[in-house]
Amino acid sequence: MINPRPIDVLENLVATLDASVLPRLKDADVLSAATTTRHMLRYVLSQLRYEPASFAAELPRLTGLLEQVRNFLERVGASEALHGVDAALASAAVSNADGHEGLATRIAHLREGLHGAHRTLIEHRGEWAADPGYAELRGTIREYLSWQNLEEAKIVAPAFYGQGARR
Amino acid sequence: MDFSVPHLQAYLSTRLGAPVEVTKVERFGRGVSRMTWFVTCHRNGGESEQLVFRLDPPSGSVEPSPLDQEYFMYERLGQTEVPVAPVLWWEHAGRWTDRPFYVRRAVEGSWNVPDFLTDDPRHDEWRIAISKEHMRALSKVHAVDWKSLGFDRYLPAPSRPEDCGINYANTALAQYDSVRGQAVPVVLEAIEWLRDNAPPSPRICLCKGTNGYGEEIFRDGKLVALSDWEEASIGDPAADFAFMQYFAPQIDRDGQNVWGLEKALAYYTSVSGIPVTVERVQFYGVIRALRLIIMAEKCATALHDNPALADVRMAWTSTEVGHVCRQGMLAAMGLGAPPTAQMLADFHLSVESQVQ
Repeated sequence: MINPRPIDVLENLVATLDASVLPRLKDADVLSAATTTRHMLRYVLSQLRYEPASFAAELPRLTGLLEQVRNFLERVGASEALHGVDAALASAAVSNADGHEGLATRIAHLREGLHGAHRTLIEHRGEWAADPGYAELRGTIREYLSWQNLEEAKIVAPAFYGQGARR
Repeated sequence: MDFSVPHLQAYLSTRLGAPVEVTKVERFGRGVSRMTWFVTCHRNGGESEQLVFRLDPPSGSVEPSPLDQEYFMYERLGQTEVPVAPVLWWEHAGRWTDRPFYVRRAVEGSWNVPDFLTDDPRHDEWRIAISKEHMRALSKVHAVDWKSLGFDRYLPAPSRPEDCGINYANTALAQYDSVRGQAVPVVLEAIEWLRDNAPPSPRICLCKGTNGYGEEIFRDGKLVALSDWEEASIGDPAADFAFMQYFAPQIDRDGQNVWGLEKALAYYTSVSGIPVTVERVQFYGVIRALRLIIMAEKCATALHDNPALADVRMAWTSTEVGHVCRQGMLAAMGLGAPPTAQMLADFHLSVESQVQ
């Protein structure tokens, strides 16, 4: 292991931009590009800090949600959509990528599975809306969507809000 | 396209059939959706003229609509009362360029309207005059006979006024499906909500898309050209007030409302004869958030496919802009708190606006 760690280096890069680079840039286009670069460095810093915990919470939550979706689709006989969910769950389970990006890949598979099933649920609303399980499942998906946005905010807010010109 | 002076001189001399001397080449550094180059030249020793070259960036446009649609818009708008820059020609990829581009004539003026963003009461009259000027320009856009001019060749048109919102939602879904690099399930939830809540429009109109401060060209307080037509659509004119930047400023003095969206809409209706409600504008605000999410997706894909060529602002669009727009859509559906006004205003903070 070589020190400093990525978070320390990124903190240093942002501070260097603030102290030694941005104040000396006179060309508006160059200043604009450098300003956005600073924001994106802060964003990566924020990802490094907060995304691991967010992914660790999302993986079981999303897996559970997809299993609920799977049960509903099986019960109503939506075989094509069911196949999509099964494929997503299988891909997420067998993904052998390591580390944080491996986790990101597994979550991406699950989100893709939810996306396909969600589309089917919406398309068949007229047919399935009378089923009490339908409204409950749609409500659970909505709760997940809200939760996911709040998790994103934990990364986005410290990176950007109150940090001045974006471009 | 090689924007070096020798290449441009050779190209323009061939294209125009006369010797052309290029005296200045400048890239407009502010736009992300497409690249804009200003080329100043003299034809056959004649007077100086400025040409504007528009092309997609090497990593692809942020916009889901193609460049030839933008060219088409200028070509057709040139046949109307709408003030636009005259479009000159289209150049296919080939001998002179690796990517297609089109050329239009520059219009003298500036996107910047001095003293407009201030809240200083001394500038109230000026700001309201600019706002009214913009309302009159929008009314000209909405009066365009889009059907006879064939705008629906590129822009999907609803068959009935009551279908405007649904048509826009369906178009956005098709664009999302064509550009997305990842699953964004909230988009599907939003499309369903939009279809359920689409308000009827009194009329089917040509709409500009993003408009207002920073988009149009002004000279001496007069709007001389409406620019940036890449988000144009056919539908409810209320959409243009949701896509408008700053040009209906909220002005309150001594506890009285002097100007704002409602007054601007009333003025617009007095000019155009088309009623527009705040509720319809709010509906199209959700559509606008959806459009920005589509752009964010396109940016993320461009960054993944071409990290060395993508503009760094694409990274910003795909992160903060995408996130805040998803938050806004969720809030409209009652699924969370809306973004604060500050969060939305910060999108428009540029190094120039900080200096102003």
